[in-house]
Amino acid sequence: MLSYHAALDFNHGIYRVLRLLEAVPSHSMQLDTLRILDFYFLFPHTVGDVTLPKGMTAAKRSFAAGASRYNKVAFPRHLFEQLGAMQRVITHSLAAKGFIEAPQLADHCVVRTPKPLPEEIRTAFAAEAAKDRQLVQFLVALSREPLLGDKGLKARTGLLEFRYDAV
Amino acid sequence: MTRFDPALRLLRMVVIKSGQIAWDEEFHPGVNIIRSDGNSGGKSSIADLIFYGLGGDFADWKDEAGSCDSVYCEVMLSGSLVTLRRDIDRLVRQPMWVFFGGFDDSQSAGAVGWQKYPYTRAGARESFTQVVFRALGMPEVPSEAEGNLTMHQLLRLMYVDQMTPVDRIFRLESNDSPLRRQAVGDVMMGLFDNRIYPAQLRLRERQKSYDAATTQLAALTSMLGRVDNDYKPEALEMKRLSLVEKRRELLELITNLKRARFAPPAGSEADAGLLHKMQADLDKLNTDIAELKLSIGQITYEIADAEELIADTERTLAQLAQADTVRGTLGPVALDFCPNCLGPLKEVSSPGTCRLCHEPTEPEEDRSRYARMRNELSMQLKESVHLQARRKGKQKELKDRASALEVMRNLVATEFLSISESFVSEADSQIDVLSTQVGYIDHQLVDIERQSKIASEVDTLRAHKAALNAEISELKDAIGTWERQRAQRQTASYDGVRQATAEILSKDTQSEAEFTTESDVYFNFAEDRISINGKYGFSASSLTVIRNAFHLALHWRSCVDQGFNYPRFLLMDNIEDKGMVMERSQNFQNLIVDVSKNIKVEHQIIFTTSMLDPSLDVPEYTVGEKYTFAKKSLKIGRAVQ
Repeated sequence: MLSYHAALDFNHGIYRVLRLLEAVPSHSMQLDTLRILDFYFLFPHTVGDVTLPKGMTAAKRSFAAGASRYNKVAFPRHLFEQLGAMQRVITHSLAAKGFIEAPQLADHCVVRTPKPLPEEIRTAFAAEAAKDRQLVQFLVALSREPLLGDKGLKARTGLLEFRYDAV
Repeated sequence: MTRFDPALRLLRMVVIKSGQIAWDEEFHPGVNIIRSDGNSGGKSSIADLIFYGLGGDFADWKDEAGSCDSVYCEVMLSGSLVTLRRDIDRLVRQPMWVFFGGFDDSQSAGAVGWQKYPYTRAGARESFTQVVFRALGMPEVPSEAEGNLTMHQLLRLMYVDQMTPVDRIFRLESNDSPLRRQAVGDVMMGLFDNRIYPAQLRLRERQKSYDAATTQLAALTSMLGRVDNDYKPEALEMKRLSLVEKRRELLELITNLKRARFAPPAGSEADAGLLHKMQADLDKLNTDIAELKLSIGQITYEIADAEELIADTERTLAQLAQADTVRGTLGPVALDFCPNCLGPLKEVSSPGTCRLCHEPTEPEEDRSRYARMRNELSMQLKESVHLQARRKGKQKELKDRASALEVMRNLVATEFLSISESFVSEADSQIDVLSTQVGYIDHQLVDIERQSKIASEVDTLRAHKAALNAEISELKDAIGTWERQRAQRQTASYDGVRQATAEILSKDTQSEAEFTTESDVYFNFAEDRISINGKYGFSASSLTVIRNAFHLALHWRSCVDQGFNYPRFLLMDNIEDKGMVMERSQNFQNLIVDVSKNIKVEHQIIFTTSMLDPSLDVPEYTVGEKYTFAKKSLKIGRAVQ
């Protein structure tokens, strides 16, 4: 078996970011929020370890059930850090290509520009499997949660340090 | 001369006042006379000092004696030379200092060697009574009687003093008790057997144990519920063994019946063969079914695992497609900086070179790479799906086979059971009956266990009771014997004293003509009185003579009967008291001397008189000077405190 993993593919990373920004109503979010959502986009079954607000328990259970011996993640936080480097390239690339605002990016915020996406990509969005659609909806709901503080996404996921946040 | 112990003899007495000797005289064995011309010469003071110095409790001093500091008595206590010292005080219960040695030695020794003892025992500290008694060799008394038997109490019987009413035996004191006087008298006359009291205590305790054992025995025998001897351990053991044997037999029967359960009854061999075959078939069927189930389980697991792989592969394929779309539409990712070190990347010198690793790139290479990967994954997916279908097919086949076998097995089992049902139920009911019997035997065995325990306890108790009984009889006999001996001794001793008293009295120049050697003398320590021929009323002078005669007789008997504990010492103050005429007194004085002469053992009699028979006024008998009113006994200087 050859080694392909979407996490190590820049192109798929671009796909994921564009998909998330497309799905979120404001088409924008904090950079750290994007990073976190992207992680769960790649590894939805690891959401079983996250303390989620009440309404999301059913979804959480169904994603967690997708864990198998073919998609084990030993150290989520470690992997998250490694993904960070790729993340930076992806967002810069998108800014260079004009799909997200460069000045806001400098402020650690990703905001979609009015520039439309190519047709093929939008078709690909529509062609996604039902399970993927569910996942995206789930991630959108998650994006509404606060990022900072001890009930924030950082704290709940444990992927980023939250204790020094200024809330 | 022989000495009967315990023996007390005063050798010397020294009275000190203000560092000066107020009185210092030596005494000799036998008769000692302290005399004065007329009264108030201080004789009684000397007698009181002797009484006090030897351990009597006294504080009612006359002025002269009371002004003195201390009195020393050098004594022989059953052959041991000891010096006693007591300080004179107005308080009672003064302690005593003891020096084991003579007076002179005690003085040159200074403070060394003197031991102080309290009047009463205090914890570990002994009283001086205990010390003196030990030196005298007085017999031990039980601690309950210790308070009654002090040196002071003994001296009450040895000191015939002036202040006690003449009709009494003991020196008078308040808070006296008849029991105490009786005890003192008994001890002095050697009638106290210190074996009796402890034996009586033990007898009482043994009787209590015996009664307790009797009660317990009654309870146990009633628990056994029998009056006959069936609860003997041997009989119980035999019963138990027979029950165990019967139980074993029954169990064997049951086992045989169980084994024979599936054996056909005699006379149906044809059925036997069939049943046998059916049994074999059943076994094979069950084994096959089990194996199939095992395989089904394995395949089910593999199917689940493959599902996961397929799902993962499908997902990867979808992601590949998405990535390819992005690559195709947005072009290559513009890397301005190195993702590893985050440093800026230099512009490529020539197009067609990777900005990162500087290898030549093929713009279409990406796409072909994606295509190749998609190809491979698709092939894998196809294969996995194919294999999965086969697995599911196999699973279905196995399940079908298993159900078919199960159906067949159930059929065979039912038929088998119906054929063997008949003798199964018969054997079962028999097994039931036998099992019940075994249960009953078990219950009986438990019962026997319990009974044999009780039986052995009963035996033990019986033996214990017998032992107790033997001891009780022994004790009763011993106590009886001792008490009889004591009574005998008492009669003998009392008779001796009574006769001696009568004899002495018969020699009195009496005014009453009743005193003969046949006079019936009665005395009682508890009652503290003496009667002659049943009569108590006599003149004061006669009573004095009777009293003196009694004490002299007691002293005399102690020198004859070695069993007496009376220390062969007598102190009489003013033997002519209460208006006795000179002749009578002097006659009595000679009586004393005669008695003393006839005594064959060491003894000492000290008496005081103001009308000494001149024939007795010799150094052999006298002690000190003849005291007068002007020249009193104690030399204390004129100014009296």
